[in-house]
Amino acid sequence: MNALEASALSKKYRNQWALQDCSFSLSAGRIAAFVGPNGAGKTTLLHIAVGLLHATSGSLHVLGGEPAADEEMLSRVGFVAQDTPLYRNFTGEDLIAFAAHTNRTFDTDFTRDRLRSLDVPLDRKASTLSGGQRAQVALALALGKRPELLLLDEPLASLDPLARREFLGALMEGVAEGEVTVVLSSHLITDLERVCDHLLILSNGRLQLAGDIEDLVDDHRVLVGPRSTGAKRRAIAGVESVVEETVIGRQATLVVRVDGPIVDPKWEEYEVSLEDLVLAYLGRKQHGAGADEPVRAISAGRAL
Amino acid sequence: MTWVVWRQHRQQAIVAAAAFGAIALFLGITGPAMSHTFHVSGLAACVAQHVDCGPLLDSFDVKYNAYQFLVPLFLILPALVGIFWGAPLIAREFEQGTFRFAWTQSVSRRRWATTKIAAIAAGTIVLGVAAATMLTWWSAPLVLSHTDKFVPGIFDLLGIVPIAYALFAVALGIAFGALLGRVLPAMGATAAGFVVVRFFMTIVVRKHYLSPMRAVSSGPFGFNDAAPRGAWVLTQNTIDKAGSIVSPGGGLDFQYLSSHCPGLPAPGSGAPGSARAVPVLGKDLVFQCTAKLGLRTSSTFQPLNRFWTFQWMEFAIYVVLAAALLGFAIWRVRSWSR
Amino acid sequence: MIEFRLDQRSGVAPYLQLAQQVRHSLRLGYLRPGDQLPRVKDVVGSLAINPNTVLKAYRELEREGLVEGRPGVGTFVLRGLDGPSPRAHAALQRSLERWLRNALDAGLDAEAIRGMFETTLQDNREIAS
Repeated sequence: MNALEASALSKKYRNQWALQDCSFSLSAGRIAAFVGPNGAGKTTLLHIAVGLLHATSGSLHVLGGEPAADEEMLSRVGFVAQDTPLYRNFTGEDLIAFAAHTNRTFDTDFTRDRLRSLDVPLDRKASTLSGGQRAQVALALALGKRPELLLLDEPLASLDPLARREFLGALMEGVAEGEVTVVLSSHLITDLERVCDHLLILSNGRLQLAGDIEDLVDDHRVLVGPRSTGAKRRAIAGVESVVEETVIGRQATLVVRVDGPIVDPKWEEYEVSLEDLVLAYLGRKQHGAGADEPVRAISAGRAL
Repeated sequence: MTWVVWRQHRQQAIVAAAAFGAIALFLGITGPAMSHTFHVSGLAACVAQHVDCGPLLDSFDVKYNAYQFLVPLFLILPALVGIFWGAPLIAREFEQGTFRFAWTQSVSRRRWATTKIAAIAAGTIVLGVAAATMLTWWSAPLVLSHTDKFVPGIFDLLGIVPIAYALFAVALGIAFGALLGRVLPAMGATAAGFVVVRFFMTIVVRKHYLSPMRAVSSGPFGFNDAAPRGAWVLTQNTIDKAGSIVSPGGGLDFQYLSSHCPGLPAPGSGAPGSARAVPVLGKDLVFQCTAKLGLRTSSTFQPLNRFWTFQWMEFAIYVVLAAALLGFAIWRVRSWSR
Repeated sequence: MIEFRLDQRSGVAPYLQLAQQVRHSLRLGYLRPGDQLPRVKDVVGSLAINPNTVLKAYRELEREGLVEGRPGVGTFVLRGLDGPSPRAHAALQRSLERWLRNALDAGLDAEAIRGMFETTLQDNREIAS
């Protein structure tokens, strides 16, 4: 059973499609980076997964069932919304009690110990805590529920680098034991690199790429070589598709998906970094990369 | 979940309890004194005999007439409960986004909403019963001495209807909160909605709960028995022997009198139909004329013995309205998709 | 005890870096047979990395016969690695520093030094193993 399974998932708001035809599966135990620019539809998808929104068409199965189908399902999924909404005049202890009273199984001691070890004061109102502390509280509450699936919507967005590191450390520690599937959405891939082993890229409501990071990095290359003289680039042996093309002077840099070895000596081959992979897929227009794409320096990975 | 509701709304509960306590204190201090005066002055005994207690009543009134200014305040109390307890209940969670936290624990939306609503409704009923009981006890001397408990405004403060108004106000607040999703607009809408509905029900609808009775005074104009004691008089007209209306709204039309009774001076010596004009013209002459013409007072009214029937009917209507509004609120919560 | 570090820019996969650091500690004798390796929970908590990375590193070391994982207890060192004693290590460090200073004085830049080192290492690797 997959933790998440989407099939032609679509969501329309009035006249705009927030999600279009998204299909993917996320296996249990993965820690997935859900990446895309603001407005791409990440929050929409996560909200559908936890039952806050209803899809317009298609389906999204969560742990094999419908989102928020019943209280049983609700208890297996942990969620932290964007901007970590918490009751402003509740103290940390109040919030822990709230979670204990509204969840079937809640590990109060675990949550309390965790927050104490992070030096988060439990006797002050939530509105007086810093952004980083609020994020830690929200995370601790979600983990205390002992969910099978944890969905976090832009948890790092308002945190300074140190807080981000502490948050991710706390998150990893929380899921180290046990098979918890985690989905973290963000518009920064760099923070998530060390933590995630699966990638989902969403742009303009469409899923651009999905897969285990190891496989995706293996399947893509950066190629540096001569710019194409014709209107359309001729096929290169071993290249399944060109994701993005950047031209500077007479040199072209391509991010490509490969299906075989690159033997053409004109092309220098480099490993693609995760960041470049994400940027390449976010940058491409719907009908393929155009020659008028803005120039962007690609930091090549290892030469192959 | 009950702990949750208490913790979320304990501040409101405490404020309401304090306000209620203050009101109770006031009523508790002034009530016994008023009751004491009522009995000791002999007014109680007099009123029990159903006679005119003129001077006793006047001296009682002098002391306690100021309390009639409290009536509008007591009428507003249910609205305050609706505005401050009802409107924010769901609206605040929508406005602050905390519903995204509350609805992703392990409680279904339906259980969350019904628990919150049930708790607030229960609190409202308790408050309403206590307030209604206190008010009825406190206002007894005023009501007994003025026999106007069926009159709109007084009817609304007695018996069980205040409980229903409070429940309705809270339900209205919750419904507007769930509909609009913002606290201040919900508060405003609740205030306006409450006033409109109460006004409409009291002025337009209430008189029709049962068909009004009609009666005609036993004797010529001046006999005040067209409607029985304590009845809620709806309309009053002066009719002639044939039964046609001579002066709508009761009273005397001196134009009519002088044109039918030669010997009566023409009008102009006082406003037509005003009691003050009569002494000027000579009460006896006027009395002779009205007797000769066979003028009587006809009225439609609701008799006092229907007071409790009307209380129960109005109670039921407001409770049904409240239930419908709460049902709407729960539906709205379950279909909220943001 | 061992304190792990991660160099994201080194181009070496994280799990290999962790394994290397364990081997390094074994060589220097900072870790001895019977010592417990840090718990996965603690490593990921301080480094903010995927638990699988640590698991992979420990499995690699287990495959090399250096450590043994005991379910429910932890991962323990089985045997040490031969390597220079801390004193020998320090002496090597000092002679490296001397060489580097000479190279830099002679006008080699970091790029050239690295290149020279890589080629020499490659050439001499066969001799070493």
